[in-house]
Amino acid sequence: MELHRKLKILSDAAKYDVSCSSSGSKRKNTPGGMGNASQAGICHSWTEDGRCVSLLKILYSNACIYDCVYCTNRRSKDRERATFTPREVVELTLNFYKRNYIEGLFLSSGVLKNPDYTMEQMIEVVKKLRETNFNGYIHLKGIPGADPFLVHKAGEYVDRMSVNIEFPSEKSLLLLAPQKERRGILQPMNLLERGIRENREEHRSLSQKRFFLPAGQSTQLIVGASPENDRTIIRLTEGLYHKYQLKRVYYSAYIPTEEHSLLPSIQSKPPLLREHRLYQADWLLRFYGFKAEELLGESNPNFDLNLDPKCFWALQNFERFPMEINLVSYDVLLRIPGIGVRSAMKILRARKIKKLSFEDLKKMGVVLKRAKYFILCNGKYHGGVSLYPDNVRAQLLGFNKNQGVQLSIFDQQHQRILKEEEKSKVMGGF
Amino acid sequence: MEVLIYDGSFEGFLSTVYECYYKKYYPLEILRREPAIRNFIYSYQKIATSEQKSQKVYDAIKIKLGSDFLKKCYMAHLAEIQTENVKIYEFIRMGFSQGRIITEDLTHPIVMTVEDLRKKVTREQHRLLGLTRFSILDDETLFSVIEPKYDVLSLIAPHFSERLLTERWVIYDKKRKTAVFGQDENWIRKEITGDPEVVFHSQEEEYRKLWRAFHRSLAIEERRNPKLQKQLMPKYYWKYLTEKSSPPEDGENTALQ
Repeated sequence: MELHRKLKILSDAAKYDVSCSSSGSKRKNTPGGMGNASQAGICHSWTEDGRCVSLLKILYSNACIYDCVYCTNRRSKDRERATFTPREVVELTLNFYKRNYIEGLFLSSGVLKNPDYTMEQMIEVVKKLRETNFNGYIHLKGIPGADPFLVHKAGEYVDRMSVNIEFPSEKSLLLLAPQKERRGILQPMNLLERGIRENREEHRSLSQKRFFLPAGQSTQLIVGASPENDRTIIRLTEGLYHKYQLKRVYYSAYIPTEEHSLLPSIQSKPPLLREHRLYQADWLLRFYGFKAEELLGESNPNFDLNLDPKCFWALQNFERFPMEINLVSYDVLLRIPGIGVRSAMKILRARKIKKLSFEDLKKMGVVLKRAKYFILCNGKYHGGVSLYPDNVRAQLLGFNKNQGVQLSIFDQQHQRILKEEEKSKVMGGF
Repeated sequence: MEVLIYDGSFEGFLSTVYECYYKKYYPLEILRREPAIRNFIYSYQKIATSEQKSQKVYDAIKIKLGSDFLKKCYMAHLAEIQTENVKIYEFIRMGFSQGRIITEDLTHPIVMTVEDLRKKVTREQHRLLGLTRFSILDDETLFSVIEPKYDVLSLIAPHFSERLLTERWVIYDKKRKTAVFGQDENWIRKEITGDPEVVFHSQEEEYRKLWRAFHRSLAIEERRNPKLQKQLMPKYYWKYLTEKSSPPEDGENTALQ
């Protein structure tokens, strides 16, 4: 089969893996070598669906022996199969890299013959690449069920590894991916975590530096194919960050490709908004000091799709607001809806010079669309609605379109009726 | 009411700052080149670039205000926006009179302008680290053409120099008729006249086709969102992108002419 055809099949098969990040590695170029890693990561292009392209993301093979019902590459599905040779992958990577198309390689694979064999083939590829003095970024998938020794060996060549957890509970995993075991996923994760920790210790004491997954490990799980709620997912994520020291957890909205009794119907739309909310919550866990338990309690196990998780949290903890922008600490600033890490830093800096007014915040480019309902500037409130969670909620949901129109005494009555209607629509349940 | 004219280089700009201090100019504008029409109510002064004077200002900023402050001025100057040059000058003046703390005054119009220019340049610099595309020529040189909005060529050169240690490479800024040439850990910047003529390597077209095929097959139909694509990768840059410069979807066997 010609290379062109193979690349088409095996990139098409890999595209549902969402991870594309090329950040977090400190790998430097070596004398006579080619490439290095960029700490912040670099996006090289964007596809028509608006996702960034950073790595040459391909499967080594899609001839998988497993039959996981949700997967487009499962054995029982009728589709064209292809397998690269290590040499082909090396040539492609080097040639794309030289032309600055990519930041490096992302290599995954279906299970070819057995997990160990597949892992060996993949190690062959990355070993060859490093032997040609290639120092670009490499992300390698760990194959579930492969010998832990092999998984560990792979870690010596690459920048990041990931073993996909696939489903948020063991029950779903058993049901939808019967040949994969929970143990086969968690064991390599554990091992990699230990490897990374040992490597870090070594870096402290030895002058001879050897790399072991400088960009850590990540994982991915599918959202919407199984019945778990957001709370289960977020708690699992938190555990993965704390216990396994993962760098990232990726969520992938399930895109139905075939009818199956265990899966959502083929007509159902992929839950993209839910995926988005989960990513937002994930950010809150990693950079904003939130705990999973704070975000979703037992009584409300799912996010409101219409509100971002921070607004959702703020409305439930309304007694903490409004907050005086000139007084509260960085950690507390971060809890205000609409204020992110960058805005919070800017506020801290500008506060050194003077007390900030609402206008100042605007000038500095702090987004106030949501924040204005939750802050005081020099003791003044600029939200424009009385401070009840229900009012603020209605505003956040976008029922403020009549604002900014010049009022006349004739249509006030009309507007009042409209507002009542809108309110009853929103608050219908209460 | 002076309008000062310098040669467009950062050294020229710093020389202008020097002259402002010592000849007590209060410039209304600081122009990179002679304007098309001179306005007769202003007096125009041409400032000669002097290595000595610019070095003095350079050192003074570095010592008194710190290298971060200096870098801010340098980056903002690379935006090459004529009308804003005088703001960078005022920014330096403010710094000398009030100290480096002024960089924190994010609501001050002059600080805001400089910060904004710096941000624009930094953003484009980072963007081009990804969007620069090399072609391999028949003598194995890596060759790239770019047309950045701001003068980021010297900012991106060190990145490629470190990355492409063993290669010979050229990045040509078509808009500014300037190129950087890199080889063996070093690079130099040179102005050139006329677009260089190049002959591509015999394998070049093959890899372009492979890249396009890869790029196309990556998009997930159910998530199609061209608006987001354009937002993240503005159409301005598509001209030199291998994956965007070909007529879309005319069969994979059609060679690009």
